[in-house]
This record gives sequence, C-alpha cells and structure tokens, in this order.
Amino acid sequence: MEHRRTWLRTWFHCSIVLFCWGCATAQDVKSCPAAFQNTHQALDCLEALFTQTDIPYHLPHLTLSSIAPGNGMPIGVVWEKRIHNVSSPFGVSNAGSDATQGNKSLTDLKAAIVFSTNSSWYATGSLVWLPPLPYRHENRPNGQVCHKLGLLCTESVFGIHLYVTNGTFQSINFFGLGPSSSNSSASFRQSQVYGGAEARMPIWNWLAAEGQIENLQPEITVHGGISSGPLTEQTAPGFGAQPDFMHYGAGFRTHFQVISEPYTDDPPTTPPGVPPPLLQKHKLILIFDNSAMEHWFTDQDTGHYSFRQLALEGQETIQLHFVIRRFVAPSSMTTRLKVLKHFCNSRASGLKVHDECSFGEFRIRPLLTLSTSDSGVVPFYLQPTLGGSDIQSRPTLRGFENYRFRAPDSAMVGIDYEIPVYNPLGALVFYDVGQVGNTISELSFAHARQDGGMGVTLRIQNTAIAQIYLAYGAGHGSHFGYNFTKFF
Amino acid sequence: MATLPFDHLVVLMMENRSFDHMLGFLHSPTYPIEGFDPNNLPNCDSVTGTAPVSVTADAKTAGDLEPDPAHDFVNVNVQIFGNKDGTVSEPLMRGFVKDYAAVSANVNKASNIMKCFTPQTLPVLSTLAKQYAICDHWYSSVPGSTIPNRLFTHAANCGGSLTQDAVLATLRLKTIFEIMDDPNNPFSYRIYTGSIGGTVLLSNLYLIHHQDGFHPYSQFRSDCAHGDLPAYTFIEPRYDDDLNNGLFANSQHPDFPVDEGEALIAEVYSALSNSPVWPRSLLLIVYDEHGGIFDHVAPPTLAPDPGFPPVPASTNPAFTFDRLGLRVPAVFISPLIKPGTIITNQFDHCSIVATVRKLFCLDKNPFNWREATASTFDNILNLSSANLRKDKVILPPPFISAGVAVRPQVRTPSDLTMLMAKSMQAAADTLGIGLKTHASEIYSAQDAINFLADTAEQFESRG
Repeated sequence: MEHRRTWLRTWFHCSIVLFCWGCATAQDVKSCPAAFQNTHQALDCLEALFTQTDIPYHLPHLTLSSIAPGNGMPIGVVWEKRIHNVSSPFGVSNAGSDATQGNKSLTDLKAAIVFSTNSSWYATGSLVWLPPLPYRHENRPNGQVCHKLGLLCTESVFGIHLYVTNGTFQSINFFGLGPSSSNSSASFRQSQVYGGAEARMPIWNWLAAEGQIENLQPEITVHGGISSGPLTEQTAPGFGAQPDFMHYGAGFRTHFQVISEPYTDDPPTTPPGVPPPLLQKHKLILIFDNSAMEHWFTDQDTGHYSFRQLALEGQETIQLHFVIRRFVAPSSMTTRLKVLKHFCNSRASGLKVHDECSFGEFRIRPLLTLSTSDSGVVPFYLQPTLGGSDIQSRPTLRGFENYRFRAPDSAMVGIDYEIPVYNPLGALVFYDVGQVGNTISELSFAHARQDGGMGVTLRIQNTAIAQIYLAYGAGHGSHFGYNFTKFF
Repeated sequence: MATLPFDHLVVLMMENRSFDHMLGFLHSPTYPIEGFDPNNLPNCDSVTGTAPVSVTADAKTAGDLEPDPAHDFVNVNVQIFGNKDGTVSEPLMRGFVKDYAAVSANVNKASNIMKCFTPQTLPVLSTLAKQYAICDHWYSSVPGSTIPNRLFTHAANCGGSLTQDAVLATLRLKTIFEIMDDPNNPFSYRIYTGSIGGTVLLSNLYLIHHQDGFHPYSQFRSDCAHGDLPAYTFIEPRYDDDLNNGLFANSQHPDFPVDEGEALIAEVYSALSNSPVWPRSLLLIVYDEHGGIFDHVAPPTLAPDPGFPPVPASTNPAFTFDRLGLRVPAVFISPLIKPGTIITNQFDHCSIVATVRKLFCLDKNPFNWREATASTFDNILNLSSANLRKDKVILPPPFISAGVAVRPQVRTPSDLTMLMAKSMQAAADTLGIGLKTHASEIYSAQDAINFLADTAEQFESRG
C-alpha cells in the first residue's frame, strides 16, 4: 500500500515544511480582518492561514498537499496538536546528585482533509508516538552524541505511527496490463479506506527496521457506473469486486553518506613566501538511500486476491563538487578560471578559499517490484505502474503518460544529471529505462521501454524539489510533464 | 594582510532561552558571574499579589513551557516594566509570572517561567562555559521575537518591524553575507542548516540567488575533519521534529527538548575541536532571544549615533531600537581562551555583524548606528599562540531530566576542590599513572569528590 502511505508521507512533508515556516514566522490570523488594507496585511493573513497551529478555538489551518498525478491541484485544512513530555514515572536516579533522569517521549496528533480541483479528496488522521523508552545520551568516541538503548546507539529513536485515511481519486488512467498494453485508455475512480500502524526501529545510524500492519478497504468504480473499454474483470483482475485486505509489511531501510575530500589546511589567503597550493580539490559526496520491504496482502473475503509483493527502492546520489584552495583576485582571472568560476555561482569575480563549487549531481533511482500470488491473480489497482509519475508522485518513465504501463512486476532505473544554472533554477537531463511484466520473465531489459529528456528544476539549498520537463519516449513520442516530489 | 586573531569564526545560534534560565545557577563565590546568589534568589511578582515567586532549580528537559511563553514586544514590556507601554512605574524585571499566566491561561503553570537549569541538568553548556569563556552580558538585539533578532544577527536591522512579520523585510535586507561576497574580498562563508530550508536566510533575495553558501549540517563534521571551513560559519539548528525519522528538534526552542540541543552543542564542539583548523578558530554559542523566560538583569538602553545611518524605526508599536532585548547565554570557545574566563563586556547580536565585518570584510562601513556602536569580540582571546591549550575537554552526555528538584548546593565543585583535582591530575600525568577519570571530566561537586577519592586510592596502591 505504498501509494496510500505516500499520501500520508507527502502530507507529513508538506506539514513539516509549513510548520517549520510557521516556527520561523508565526503570523496570526488576527491580521486577516485587515487583509484588504494592503499587500503587507494580505501576506500576513495568507501566511497565518497556512501555518498558524494555535488558531483560536483550535481551528485547523490551510495546507497544500499532494494527490495522485492527474487529479488536479489539492488544497485542504490541517489540525494538529503537538505534545512534548518527559515521563517522570520511569525516572531513575542520577548517580552523584539528586537530579533524576526521565524518559523523553513525543506525541503528535494530526488530522487533515484535502480537496482537489477535480473533486478528488481525502481525509486522514494520524498519531505519531515516540514512546518513553529509556534512551540515554552517550558520547561516541568520534564525538557524535547518540541515543543509547541497550546495545543500540543511534541518532534517531524508535517511533510508532498510527493512521486512518478515507479518500477518492477521481481519475486514474488504465491502459491495460502488461508490457504491450494498448495506447487507448480508460479512466477509473479509486476510493479507499485504510488504517494501520507503522513502526520504525533504528538499529545503526545507517540501518532501520520497519514493520507495518494495515486494514485496507478499496473500491473501484468508473464514471457513470458502466465499465467501458479495457476495464473488465478479465483485463483488470479485481475490477468486478474489491475485497477487504489485511496488509502486513516488514523490511529495512539503509542510509549511507560518504564524503571524499583530501585533507587540507588552507589559510584564507596565501601567506607571503608560501608556494600557492593547487587551485582546487575534489569533494565527492555520495549518498545511498535504499529500502527493501516485503508486503503480504490477505484477501479477507475469499482469499482469491491474496498476494505478496517485494518492493526494492533506492536513490543513489553522486554530487560532484570541488573546493577552491587558493585566493585568486579578479585581476588575475584567466578565461579558463572565469569559466570554472561559473560553477561556483558566487558574486565574487575572483575565487575564494573554501568556495564550494558544483559540477552537478548524478542520481540513480532503481525500483523493483515483484508480486506473487497462489491464485495467480494480483488486483490491478495494487499493481505498480510505470509512465510519467506513479500514484506516489515518483517520476518513472517520463516519456510516457502517467500510469502508462501496469503489471504485477516492474523494474526500472532512472538516471538524472542535474546542474545548478541560476539559483534557484537548475538544468536536468535524464534517461529512464524500465519494463513491467505479468511474470518476472517478462522483465527483460532487452525489451524495456526507454526515454530521455531534459527539463528545469527548482532547487532549495542544493536540493531539487520540483521539475518540469520535456521527454521523448522511444516508440512513443514526446511528453511534457512535471513533478513535485519533495514537498508538495 | 594583517594577522587575524582567529581565521575561522563559527557561530551556533540556538533558540529562545534566557541567561538566568540556562546558566544563572552556575554562579558561585569563586565563579562570580552575574547569576544567582543562592542566599538571595531573585523573584517576580505573583499573579495573585501574594508572596513573590522565586527562581527554582528544577527546569525540565521538556514539558515546562507549553504553551510557548510570549516574547513579542508588548509581552517583553510586561516582563520588564510590568505594563505593555514600557513605562517605568515600578521595579523592573518582575512581570514574567504575570505575563506567562496570561499567555498560558493557567495561574498554576505561571511559575514555570521561573524554572532554571543547573550544571547537573544542563551539563554540556555548563561545562563549556566553565572550561572556556562565559559572557554574562550578551543581550538579544531586540526586545522581541525570533525573526527580528535573527535579522539583527545578519544585518543589524530588521526592516523596522518588531514582530515576526519582519520576515517580509528579509527579502530585501542587505546581510553581512552579501558584504562578504565583495568581488575582491578573499574571505568566504557557509551556512549549515539542520534541515533543508530551515533558515530565515532563504527568504533573502540575494541569498536565494546565491545558495552555494548553504550546506546541510550533516556535512559539518566531515568539513571540519578535512580542514574545509571558511572564515565565517553560521549554524542553524533543526527547528522542528522530524517525525518520520524519529528525530527531535534540537533548537531548544520551548518546548522542544533541551537535551537534544545539548547534543548538538557537544557535536559542534567535538567536530571543531578535532579539526586541523581548531588552533585558529573561535566558536560562539549564543541564543537568539530570551523566549519570554525569566532573567533578572534589566536590558540597557542605547544612544543612537547620528554619525551613522539610522535604523528604520517601528511605528506600531513605536520603537526606535534604542533598547536591547534581555540577556541570553553566550559562550566563547577556543584553545586560546583560559579556563574559567568570565567576560563582562556588553555584546548583542550586532556584535557578530561588527566582528565579521572588522575581520573578514573589505567594506568597513557599518550598516547603521547599531552595528557601529556594538562591541566587537575580536580581542577576547586571552592566551598567546605559544600557550595554545592542548587539553581536550571531555563533555558529559546531555541529561534528560524528569523534573525532580535539584539541590543548588550540590551543583558545582569549588575552585579549591578543582585546584586539588588538577594538581593530582598533573602529578598522575608526571608519574604516568592512568586514572579512572580525567580531571577535565569533572563538572559537579560529586564528580570532584569521586575523583579525589579514586585518585588518592590509586596513588596509595602505587605506594
């Protein structure tokens, strides 16, 4: 149920960003009665409406959110209550003083309802709980301070996430199943109620175990209530009736960050008599994020639609930076250095020691989903899709329409190269290759779909949060699309 | 180029805690900072007009200050003057409890505003303060909230706004970072943030177009290790909990847990003190404003200097930025600072702008009279490079308190005890005796007692 969890995750991202902004700004809706007096008051009011968490009478605030691609621009309201506490009953005496240690916990309640311009909507409630486990801080030999729990010593702590959501996507395109589905499509409406719990246990800073239990009640309909085109039980297993499912998931998530950079100790300017060092040193930043989850979906009615799904997902990032080691005055800039300086994006017309410049970054995004079923049937609405962005708003085969290919199994790799051009804008070049299959044997890259394209990204603090692109899908033609993956 | 007192300035600015709240109980007869006299603890007027409410040494890691104490201009007026207009009609610094009672709508909770930490419950910052230099007269620049104060930190100006809507002024303010970017200036800067976008500076038009100075905090340790720090580094903590990843905010803004900020402070100190640039670095840990929490020192007023550009005044409420905000904790850390240094000079956040300009900018013209009249701290190092400290202060782990009262009398070791401990450590070093603990790890009276007892036992066993 990745797509449903993504609703929540995206909503959390959005809320966190807005909440952060709220921490920093904290306008008050009391400014709204004067909103029409001038732009200043109007901006105050608008900001307060989107961020203020302590609106009188515990009213919710507005939010922008994310919804399945092709379902318009969503806007909604969020109510949230954040509770911090220190749990005294579990306190233990601190050796050497009368101070008593406690166990720290955090509870966060949220509820939201969001509507989009095509009448899609969802309502959700959640509780995030970091329970009062007896974590203690411990100083590691490398100077980092971790949360110590038994043998574990991690930056983050154990957390539980309870959630319930009800919602409807009005328009999800369906082109048929398998790698050779036709170009014609039908649209269906996907409604669902689901609720469950997720738990995340950090083992090391680079490894966390995750588990999930969930009840899912999907409902698939078509507009007007009449099936049309390729949407039948034969072409779309599960279309005729949708049972309730129990969904269990277990897996792990890894995160590695490695920075490769030579050791230097350069003064801000080169002292007299000291031979100038090399102009630059490389700084490679490698970030590897990967997850592996096994999902079990149990049909609660007949068992016919029960299946298992293995989901492997990664994003491997290679950032190509260099760091300037020697001050170069504007008067000493050669043509070569002026070209080089363009990648540093600073206003200075010379080069400065410790300026960090960027040749861009490569992102490699592998994605593999494998489904198995005793009955040979996997409900079509729970099958992965490739094309445009998937239901989780992840870019897939960008040279094709959203949800263009659908099957129980899928594999793809997206390779992006992005380089800052003029902050906050960047340039993007990408290549995607992927394939869906009714069986694993159909996941042959020899017959994989491919596309390539270019686009423009919006970057915040050297991180792309949105992209707009033009792609060409081999054997398909050009496709214009956009994607907001990080925040909204 | 003239020799600089330090090549690298690192500023870590935390959130919303007053000096007394964090470090007031560090005072002792042998460590005479402007904190609390245990025999004459300061107090505030109560809500009911009965017995005054005294400070207490039982601040908790979290849970005391929900809802967030008010710290807008009018609330700060109530806290200082007892009225919203800021007119002097009664003794100063007695309105904190009344103001928090009004904000929290809870008379019983109002006294929480007087709760303070002790060296036991705030071990990291307390240890660093005593091992290096504490500044007991660093004031926030504006008697108001976060945004105007953080803007003063970067621009000595907040566009004439006393409230959080100063964020709108951020867009067009000229910051010290823009001054550093002078084409001919050899010095550069970096801004490390605890979360992507977690800085008001990304609302500044110039910096939006020059984002290469922004870096994730996750790279700070590596950059330190590789000797890759610029002249000026500004660190923003994580301002919000990261729910999905089980991470707490570490800004120490009420009511986010204080121990997480202690962990951040310890990590920044560790990263910098293990860096090859450490001998030429100065770390400043400072807080943006008092957050509505009690402090007993009335902030001073300032005299505008007409010889410099004016600071845009606030019209509603009327204020010309000629009065500082309340005291905030400030600790200077460098291997060129003697242990136990107490700096009594008056500083405010404009001092950061003024010092960065003085040391690292070609343009020496201050933004305005506030920057021009602010003291710089380029001269606070009190050891010569020949006496560079080689010791490494081992910090205790942050403390997660359960809110049980701590007796003030056990809070710090006396100087005599510390002298004895250091003498024994020196003797052990000379004789090559490995001790269970190092004298630099002592941060409480009990630690000192344990150290002396253990060391004596080890000496005895060696004959």
